[in-house]
Amino acid sequence: MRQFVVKRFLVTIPVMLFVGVVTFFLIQLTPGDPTAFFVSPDATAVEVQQVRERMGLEEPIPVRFALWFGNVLQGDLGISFYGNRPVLQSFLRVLPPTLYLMVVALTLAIVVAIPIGIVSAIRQNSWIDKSLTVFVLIGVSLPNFWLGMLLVLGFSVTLGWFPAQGFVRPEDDFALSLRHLILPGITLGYSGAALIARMTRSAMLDVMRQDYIRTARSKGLRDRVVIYGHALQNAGPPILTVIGLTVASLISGSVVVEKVFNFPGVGRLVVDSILRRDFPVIQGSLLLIAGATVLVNLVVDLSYALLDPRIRYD
Amino acid sequence: MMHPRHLLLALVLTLAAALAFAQEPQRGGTLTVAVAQDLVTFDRMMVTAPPAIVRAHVFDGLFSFDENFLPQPTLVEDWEVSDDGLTWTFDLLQDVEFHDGTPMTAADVVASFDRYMRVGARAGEFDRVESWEAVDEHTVRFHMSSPWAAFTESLGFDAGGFAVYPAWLVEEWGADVGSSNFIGTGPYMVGEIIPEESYQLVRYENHRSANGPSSFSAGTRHAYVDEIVFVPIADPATRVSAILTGEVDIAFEVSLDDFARLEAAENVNVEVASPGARVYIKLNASQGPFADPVLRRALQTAIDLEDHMFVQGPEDLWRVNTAPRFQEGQWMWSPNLESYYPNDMERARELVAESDYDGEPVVLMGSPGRLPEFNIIPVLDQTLREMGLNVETVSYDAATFSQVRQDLSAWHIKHAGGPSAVPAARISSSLTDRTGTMWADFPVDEWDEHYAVLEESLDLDVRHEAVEELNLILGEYANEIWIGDVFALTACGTHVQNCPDTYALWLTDVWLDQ
Repeated sequence: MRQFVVKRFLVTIPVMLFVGVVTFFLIQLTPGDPTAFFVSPDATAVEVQQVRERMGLEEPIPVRFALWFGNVLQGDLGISFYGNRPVLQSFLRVLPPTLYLMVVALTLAIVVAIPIGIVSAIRQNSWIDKSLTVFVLIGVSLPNFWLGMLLVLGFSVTLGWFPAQGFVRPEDDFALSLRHLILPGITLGYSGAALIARMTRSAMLDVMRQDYIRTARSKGLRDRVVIYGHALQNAGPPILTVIGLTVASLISGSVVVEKVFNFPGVGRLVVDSILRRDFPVIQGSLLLIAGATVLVNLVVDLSYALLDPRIRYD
Repeated sequence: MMHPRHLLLALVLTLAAALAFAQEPQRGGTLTVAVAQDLVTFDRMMVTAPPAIVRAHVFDGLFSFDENFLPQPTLVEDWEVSDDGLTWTFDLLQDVEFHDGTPMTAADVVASFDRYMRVGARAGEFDRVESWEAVDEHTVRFHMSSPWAAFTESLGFDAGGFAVYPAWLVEEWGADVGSSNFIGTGPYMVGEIIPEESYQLVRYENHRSANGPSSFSAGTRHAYVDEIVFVPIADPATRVSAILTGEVDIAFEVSLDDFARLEAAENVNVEVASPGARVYIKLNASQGPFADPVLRRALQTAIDLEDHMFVQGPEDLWRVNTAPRFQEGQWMWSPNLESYYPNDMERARELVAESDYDGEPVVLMGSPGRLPEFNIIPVLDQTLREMGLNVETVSYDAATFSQVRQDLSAWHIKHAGGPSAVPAARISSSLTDRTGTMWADFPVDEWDEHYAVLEESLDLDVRHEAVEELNLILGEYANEIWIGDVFALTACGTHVQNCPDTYALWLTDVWLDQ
């Protein structure tokens, strides 16, 4: 197992290197002028030039890459053009809200999806099963920004149950923080819940047709023991894979959801930085997000061994 | 027992007193304000990006504009200009404190101007200022290379404009964008900053307000609320939701589409700022088909201004306006270009036929990130097609648009917009392209003659005549087509008194019903 983990970590190095190089050069090649926020709309060419020099944008791209990459190797992701703050500091400040949001979204998705998937499999072709199909179709079809707006309209503006925007840190006010997280959590988690429910259903159906389930039933075991003790555990790996993929999709989904709910997270930081061409923040954030995605995949791979004793990494 | 008449009198008096109390400004409370953009930095000298309103509460400049766009003193008590217009002497307002409790002196003004001339976003406007010095503790003198009547106008501009910082802070920040210790002389000092989430300002009790009556961003300011918390909410729909749910007290830059919805809400008042944002078109007079003045004249002749504004939203929230910049009541206002826009498509087609246009593609460039000006693009596309031009419409995000517009080979016609009023120094931007080069065949001598009067005369009437002449030159050259104004909406909770309009720079006269 240790060898496997070390190997995976070593594989991470070229992946991160690739992401870093591609991100850097793609961003530099993207049209757009980062000076737009620092000069007046009718600024002269000389004024724009002065600001570009101050930002270090007049250096040739290879020189800028060498400077940036050298600093990254030393753990310095650079300084934001806007606000003059270190990129790592900006990222770490917005990371907790995004993690809270993802935890709430994933928890809601799992808590709702797995029971629905199981019931749907047990009662195949029943009205519950057909309802699941509708639930899944809506989940994968509905754009999350639109779902978010509908939820705000219904539960914030009309009913006044939840705040329409913003975030409160749990350490400041836990109950209020939770209220701020519910609507964005549902918005973010819905499409993931639909996929997990669908995968749970099909994995369970597959397992339930196996001989050992029939054997367990013929031994007179109760349905609950058969389903939860034998079927669900064996259906676990594919469900876990979808949960892992859902986590990755939550990272990208949070970009839109955070914008709709004015949520100060990683997604909003990245979008805002892209819109204003804050190169250091875009490069640094994407590198860290890529690292997190690789880490999640590693954790999922390791979890297989916990669920299925036949899987060994030695 | 009280006589019924006395009882009635007592009741009336009580009601009158209650009413008077309700209208009396009240101190206290926290005002939460949703702004459309995140704050890039508090360092006012370095950025032109909105929201200027956040910085304006913390830092003062030497001058500010009144409602007639005339510069009025802010940190200046009195000033004089030498007869030759080359020397300006400012007596500074006394008893002005920075937020660290130290007094503001001429040395701070000189140090701040040193920095501004090195890194200020609009420093280029001040190229006539040769030197500056502290005469004594409260007097500053500026020397010009040639007379410059518009000096105080450029000093008064807020976005990327000059502001007075403590000399020690100037030294600490140097040429870098300031990132901490935001200490100014404004009515509010910086409290807790949570980047990209909220910016708290706390009333500075020893603030020394400017003299004179309150007018737009000039004059006396009353800081009624204890704290102002600015919350950046980029999405217009989310800003509207936040004001409807009462999560914020004021929401700036509300979409025109939400006007009816907000008007119907019981807990919200809507303030309409007229005329709001200018919308106009820029033609590339250097390269491509519009380098031909006959084709530029053809578009001027064809354009139906009302059609182009109709797409902006409800009819009572926009207007047609062909005057380049400024508003009624402002001294530079000069609406003398209507005759250039006859809305005659038949004549326009004749002009196209007379021009050198040979059917090459006309690149119409826009950016959905630039509203409301972008809204005219579909109508403009249609107008150009009706004229018989071969139109190719392209759109970019705002940052790309900013870059591509500097490449004159990449576009032929684009939308433009911005504030109504700009300092005199910026009017000259109409005669140069985005690279700073003079537009082809621009009547430079004629322009320079009138522009010199605008820049150098101290007589407002004479300067106004110069503006009229400059406008006529622009109308004749036709590289800009001024279309109209889209009004700006601000939504305030009904408990907010003196709801400001979107172009306000101050929330100092706003108070909350407690």
